[in-house]
Amino acid sequence: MRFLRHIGKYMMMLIGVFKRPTKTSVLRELVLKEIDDLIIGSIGITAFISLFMGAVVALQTALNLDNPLIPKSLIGFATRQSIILEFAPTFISVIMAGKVGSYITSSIGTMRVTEQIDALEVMGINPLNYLIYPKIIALLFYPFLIAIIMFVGIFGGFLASVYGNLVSLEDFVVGLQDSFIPWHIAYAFIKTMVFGILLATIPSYHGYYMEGGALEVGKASTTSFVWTCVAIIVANYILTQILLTT
Amino acid sequence: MIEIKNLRKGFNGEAVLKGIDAKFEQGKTNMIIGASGSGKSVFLKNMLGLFEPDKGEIIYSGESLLDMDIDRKSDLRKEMGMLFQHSALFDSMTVEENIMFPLRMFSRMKLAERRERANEILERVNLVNLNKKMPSEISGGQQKRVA
Repeated sequence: MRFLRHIGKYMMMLIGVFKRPTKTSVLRELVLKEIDDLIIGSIGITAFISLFMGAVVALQTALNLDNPLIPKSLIGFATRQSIILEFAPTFISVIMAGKVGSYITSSIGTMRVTEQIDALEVMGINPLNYLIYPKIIALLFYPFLIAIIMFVGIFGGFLASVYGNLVSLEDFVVGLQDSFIPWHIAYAFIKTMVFGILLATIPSYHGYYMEGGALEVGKASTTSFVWTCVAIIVANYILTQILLTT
Repeated sequence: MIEIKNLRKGFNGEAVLKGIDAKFEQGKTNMIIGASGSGKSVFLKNMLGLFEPDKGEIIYSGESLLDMDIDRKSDLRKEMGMLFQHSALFDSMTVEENIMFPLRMFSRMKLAERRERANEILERVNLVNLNKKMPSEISGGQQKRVA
């Protein structure tokens, strides 16, 4: 019952976000700031993780290739498939739930605790639109980050396998191009868009409706991370079922 | 005139406001005095519509606050001011930006005009030269004066 109440409240929040919009010039500035904080600020850490994860995927595949009948090009193929289909959109989104999600929950939660949200309401500003709408718009640019992550991840796989003398450059490139289905890229970006919206709204919900003091801000950040991850994992399954199996 | 009728509000089953009746007439200065934790802030937040009362009525010039839609409430709130307990200054903005914020949101003033107005206000509350400071860099008393 409590879960359903939260879902209803979350939906009401989403409706509230699009009501009584903030002045356009202010909103434009807020969106640019959020893009800088949420997207550009995440490039470094996600690229770093992606580079090494791509390398590990390539290494694991190479080390498990015992059968001489299986071509070495499988290393490039496996790296590409795992990075594009799951690692870049899903695994990075879970990391983003920790990095960006906690930041969103704690910043909005602190504003709630210190009555800054009340102050916005007293001024006649819609706090939902002022605080959450720019985050949703900023995270619509999330696929650009994921595109970079895909490239870096595959590059990591290339460095580890080709420079680690596990496969020749030609075999790796053949594997990368083998059985390429362009729809997989579209599938990954559709998933990313959905995850982006979840990343913006679930942590915002937990921050906006939190009650209590500084200790509760920390608790709200943890709860928000857990629920954002759950939502991403469930949405990943549903989207894969819809987009890849039909 | 603002009229409060039988206002009741509680949290987690514990009653804070137990049937308050009050009248605030135009042109009069009113004071609400009470012990710490007696519900003064809760009462004011109910009056502003930041909390929804469990029971009772809040009437602004014959119009019930509880029956107002969000747009009407917004318009009404633009005519109100409240000094919050924690000053409620925006952490991410400087002192000057905090003062300029409502002007930026609701007026067509240019940046230079807004800045001039903010400096006038800072001068009135003896806070000249604090324009570029962040709220965390000034004292609690100074924060209250900025708010």
